[in-house]
Amino acid sequence: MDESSLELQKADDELLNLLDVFVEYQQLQEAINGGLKRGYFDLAVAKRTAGYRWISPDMYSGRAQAIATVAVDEASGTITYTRRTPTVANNADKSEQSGGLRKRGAKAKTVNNDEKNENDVRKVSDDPLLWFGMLVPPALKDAQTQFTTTLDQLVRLADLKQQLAHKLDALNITLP
Amino acid sequence: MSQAVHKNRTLIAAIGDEDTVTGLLLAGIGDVDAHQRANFVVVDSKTTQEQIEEAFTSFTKRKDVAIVLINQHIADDIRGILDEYSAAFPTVLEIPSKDHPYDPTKDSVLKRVQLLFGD
Repeated sequence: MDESSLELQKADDELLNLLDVFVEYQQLQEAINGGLKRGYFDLAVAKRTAGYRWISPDMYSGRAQAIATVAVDEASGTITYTRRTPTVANNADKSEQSGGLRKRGAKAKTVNNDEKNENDVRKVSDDPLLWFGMLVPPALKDAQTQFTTTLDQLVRLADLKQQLAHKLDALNITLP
Repeated sequence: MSQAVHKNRTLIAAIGDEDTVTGLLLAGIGDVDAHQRANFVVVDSKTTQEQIEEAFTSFTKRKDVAIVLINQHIADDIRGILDEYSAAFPTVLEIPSKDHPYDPTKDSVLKRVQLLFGD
């Protein structure tokens, strides 16, 4: 009798736990819907300000490296959001360094090679905001902030979905 | 072997309309690997169902993708293979787009929880 009571108690606890996770899942889903809505609005304002041509797939970088990634825990299958700071690299301007070109009026210039090479080396960031130009409209920055926040929530939602799937599998609840 | 696979799963892939993919790229998910494989696909009016299915299949087969984000209205176009997909990773999440709000009745998790309570 005690054993069956304990089993029932355990089943009740698991069911309550599942419902708690499900409530959190639904609340997070609503928050994500609102966040995406705001992000889409900011993006629309940015496109209107900067022009649709400047904020389009044509501006996507072909050398993109992910800044926002996830870490999957091997044992539990949980998903954690990770984000690195956009890196800034030196990108030397090779055209200025090419020799062999006759430069007109070179006598009037006193060329300091060190200063010239330093000026030619440009800082390049892999922040995706810069794909759309150096001077982007404020609305695009707002959109980036909003989508970044929402992405964090999406990763959390994916984690909750995993948890719910495991709990439902344990209860043998499958769709027909 | 499965543990090593999970260690490599770090990317978030996206299949969506232009605004969705642009927004997610701004958030930093964009990645193009050494073989020029991008982890994002923009779906427009000219994209065929076969192309969407191919993108979904390729992302779900990749060992470096942990999550696939897909607009729900695009997911409806490939609902068949989406419903058949049951792997734990990559996890597939359906998200609303600018013109198509989220429909919770199509959420697979919600359906299973409703089944639990006999709805």
